[in-house]
Amino acid sequence: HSHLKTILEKTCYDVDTHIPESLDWFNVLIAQIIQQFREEALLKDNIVHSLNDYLTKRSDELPSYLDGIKITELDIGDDFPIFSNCRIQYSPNSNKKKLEAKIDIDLTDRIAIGIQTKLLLNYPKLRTAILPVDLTLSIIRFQACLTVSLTKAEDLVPTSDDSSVQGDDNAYYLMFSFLPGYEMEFDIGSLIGSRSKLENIPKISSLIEHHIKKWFCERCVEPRFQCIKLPGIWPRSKNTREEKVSTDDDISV
Amino acid sequence: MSFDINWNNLSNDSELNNSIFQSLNNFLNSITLPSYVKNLKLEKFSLGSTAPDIKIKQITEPLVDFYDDIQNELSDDQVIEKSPNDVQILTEVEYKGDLSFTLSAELVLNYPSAEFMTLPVKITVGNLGFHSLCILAYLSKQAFFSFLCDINDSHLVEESMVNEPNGFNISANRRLERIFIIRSLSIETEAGEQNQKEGSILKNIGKLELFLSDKLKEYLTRELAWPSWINLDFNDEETDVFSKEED
Repeated sequence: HSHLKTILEKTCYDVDTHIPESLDWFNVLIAQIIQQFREEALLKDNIVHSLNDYLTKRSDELPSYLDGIKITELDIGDDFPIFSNCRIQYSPNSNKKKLEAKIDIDLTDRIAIGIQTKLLLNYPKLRTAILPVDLTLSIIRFQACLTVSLTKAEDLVPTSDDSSVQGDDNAYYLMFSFLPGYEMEFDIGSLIGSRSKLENIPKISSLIEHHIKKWFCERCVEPRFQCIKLPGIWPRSKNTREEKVSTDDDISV
Repeated sequence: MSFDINWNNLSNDSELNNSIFQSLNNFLNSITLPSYVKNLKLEKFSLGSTAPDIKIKQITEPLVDFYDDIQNELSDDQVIEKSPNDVQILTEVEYKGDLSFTLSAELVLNYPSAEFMTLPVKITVGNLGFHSLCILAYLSKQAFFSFLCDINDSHLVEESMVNEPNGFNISANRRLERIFIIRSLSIETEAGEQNQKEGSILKNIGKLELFLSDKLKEYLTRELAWPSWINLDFNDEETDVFSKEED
């Protein structure tokens, strides 16, 4: 308790009076990383191909009511998330023993994946009726409040029984989670049927939206946290680099 | 069609054909026959080689009636819960296929005395045709299938399928009850040639055909048409029909 108080004093941070900070510098760095990722993925057809190869290889593992999945479209977006309104506070219910950062996040973009599959009716015989399904799932808006904190493994409980989850108790983890009042807006297109098709059925959209939100909620929404083990940052020679000397005429020495 | 159907899978499935044969036979045995016919027996059943044409009209939440039906089966402390996975497909089903079955019977001539003469006949039922609005719902590991009405009466369904707070509901509208769904059904009878000239026998053949046609239409309507439905329960099946548990 007094431990955290000292930290706050020595870093000149009063949780009650400190004004929220903008994270403009962080947005720029994150945007650079995302930009880099997008450039690598500029050959995004390659991603589509490798995803499809992957799906074809694992088609045996699909549930019996699906007849293969083909990715028809992949849009990795062209906008960047904006983080803002960052403040440090004591974690609620921690009896002032833990600190956490709260950050607002806002993303307006179009990140989309197009899927083609066939639904199979396996009654009374296998593949009695086949229903082609075309889907485009895009997330167009994400707005949430993010909680970030650092903690030791001993304070965490895994949500699955998987024994491989058990980690090093002394390691530090970066924990993040979203507050339940988040907004996640989807644009879901559907085309169902073989020759005569039904388009953009609200029931299909709500079904898919439900499953995506459930998946997200079970992993990243409070009281669930995502934990990332932090690497050691002690300076080591194997992590040391020097900047390349750039020359206009590129003459080697 | 919006569904691609592997009709061969069905028409070649002996188990399915047997079970239809059995239930049709049970129905025929349950008919109280008129005095001029006896020993009505199902001889052959064939699903034919032509699939119905199925167009999807709408995909929605299942009707409240199906939840009520399942709820009635449960004990008082169990409550059926709606799941977002529950789905209902409204379809337009058109069938003009070659499904057929053959019956054997004996026509009885009770004049001038009781059972004065009996004549074996072979009756072929075919040319079944319908063009109807049907619903197929899947909820709580059970499938429901029902014929709502003939496509020409579909305005009745559209008018009465009101989106109530708890879901769609058409049970309130009794006008849909027992709407006739069979458009065509033909019955042909073969008898021994020497009896073709016998007037009273011919008259009885005509009467029998009409009798059977009425009974069959009544049976199909009673079994399949709203507010009746076929309910298939997959809760006990090892592998689910539509979904497979993950993990």
